[in-house]
Amino acid sequence: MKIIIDPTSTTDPYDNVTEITADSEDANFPIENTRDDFTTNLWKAASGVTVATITLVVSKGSAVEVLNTNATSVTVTVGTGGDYDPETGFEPETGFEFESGVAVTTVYSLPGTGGRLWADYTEITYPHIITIQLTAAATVCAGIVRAGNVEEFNDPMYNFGEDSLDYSIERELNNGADYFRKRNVVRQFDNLQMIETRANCFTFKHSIFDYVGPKPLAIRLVHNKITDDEFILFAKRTDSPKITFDCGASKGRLRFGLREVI
Amino acid sequence: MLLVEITINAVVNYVSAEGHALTHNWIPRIIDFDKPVLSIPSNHGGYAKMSFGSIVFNPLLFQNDWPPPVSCAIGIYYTDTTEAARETVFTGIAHLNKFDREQIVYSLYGPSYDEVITSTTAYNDTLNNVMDAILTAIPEITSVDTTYARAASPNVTYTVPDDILAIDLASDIAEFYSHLFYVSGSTAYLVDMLLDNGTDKTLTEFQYFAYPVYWYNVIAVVYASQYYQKSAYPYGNTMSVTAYHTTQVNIEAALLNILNIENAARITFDYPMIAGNFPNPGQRIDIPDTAHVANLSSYIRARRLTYDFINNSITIEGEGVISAG
Repeated sequence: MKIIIDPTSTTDPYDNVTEITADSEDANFPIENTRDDFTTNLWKAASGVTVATITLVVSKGSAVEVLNTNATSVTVTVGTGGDYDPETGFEPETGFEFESGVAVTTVYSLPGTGGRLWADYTEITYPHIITIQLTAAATVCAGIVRAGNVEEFNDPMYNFGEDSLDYSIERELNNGADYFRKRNVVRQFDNLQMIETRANCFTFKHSIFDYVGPKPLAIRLVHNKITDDEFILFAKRTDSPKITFDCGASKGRLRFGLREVI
Repeated sequence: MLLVEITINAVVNYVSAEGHALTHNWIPRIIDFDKPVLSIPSNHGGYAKMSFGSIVFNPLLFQNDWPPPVSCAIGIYYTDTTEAARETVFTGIAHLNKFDREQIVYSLYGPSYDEVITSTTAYNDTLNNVMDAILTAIPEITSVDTTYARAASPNVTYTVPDDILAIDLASDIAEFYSHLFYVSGSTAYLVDMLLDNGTDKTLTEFQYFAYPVYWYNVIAVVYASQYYQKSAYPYGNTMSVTAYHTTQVNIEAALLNILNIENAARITFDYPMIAGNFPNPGQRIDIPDTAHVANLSSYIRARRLTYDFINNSITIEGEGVISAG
């Protein structure tokens, strides 16, 4: 299980993005909308723009999450900035060298509706730039962008469950037929458990979930044996995680639940 | 889709209950919205006026304008499709009622008409002309549409005893002569309670919710000073009204209409809130109902409309006819 959060950050939303820009933007749907806690509060490119790039400056980190995008293809490029070629006659002082700026590019395919992207990259411990080029069939949009430090834990043990909270309206018509109006459906995960070191249990509970409370976080619920996009979440804890010390002196058992947000 | 424009410290905010990315980004900040009710003052007529309760917002709406302002201009709209196709439900003022850590409650206030008809003003004309004279004295109302008023407009003979608000006097007179009126834009529409307002609407059983309720009031006698009309139900209630005529035959004719409307069958039912399902007061709606021991085929004229924007349904009540289907 991975969570994008910097427990040392004191700035909402507690990741490591220090700057975010988009090369196209509908004034009614600014890029800042991707930084709030609502997956349905969208950033949209200008009307008719189907290819747009989001650029992030990230202080440190190893992953980026994009949620609720209509993109069918996403190209994520991670680098440390532009290349530097010293003018003739100049060279760095002894002990210093120019950063190569070599970028790593990865292309992802998404479904085109409600898309979920989690892109891991080799950890960079200093400021770097992430560009996310999104390509969609219509005006491109996205709901959430988070990037930065990843706190990693064991995957939850088997036997956890997924159900849904459906906000649709359903009523009986006079002849017994069904009337419905589809509304948002969010997923809930319960019976989540994992055995972790005592230190990780404290990090998980104290430094992350007790720290942010009901605030939703970018989470990859399962990442080792299963890599399905379905386990990429933007979710809040349903109840505060509980630690049970029943696994010996060095380990504890974490029990918790998660619920996606709208 | 419920869409609300609320002006907070001179900035228009676009909010909704669910969140809708239309032309504007209608962010989800509405927690609850009391059901607005369009109704007439009695079962036999008067001014069909929309009454509003409160609207409840998420405190996040005011995070940059804290504490919430005491009053805000507000526009409330409904659309099934696009922002351009939205229909106006309400425009007026939202006045801060109360707030706590979890919610901000504003009460809604619509336009009010404060023009006064002074005492000793005398009327002796047709209902249509009297209504026109009274209502167009209100600057916001520039005309009275009488397309669906009674063909032979009854005579009104009345001298105003005390100063009275024009809108209230118009409502009282219309009510006595079994008419309703409603205001849309700058036009007042006068509608005979005995006629259908506009095109009839026929529903199938796929188009309204279970279960309609069929019910009755029972009035034994209606009085207007010394004049009265009796029904066939002597065990019923007694009703008194103010007469807006001085002649017995005119008063008794009006009382008979009131008696018949008050004792008519009434039906209440819900149906989905979708475009096309917003009837005008007085519009006739026919419903079949095969869910009883024998089939029914009935109609009502819409008199009381309750709009549930949170659960997307409209409750309609009115009087009409219940028949075997």
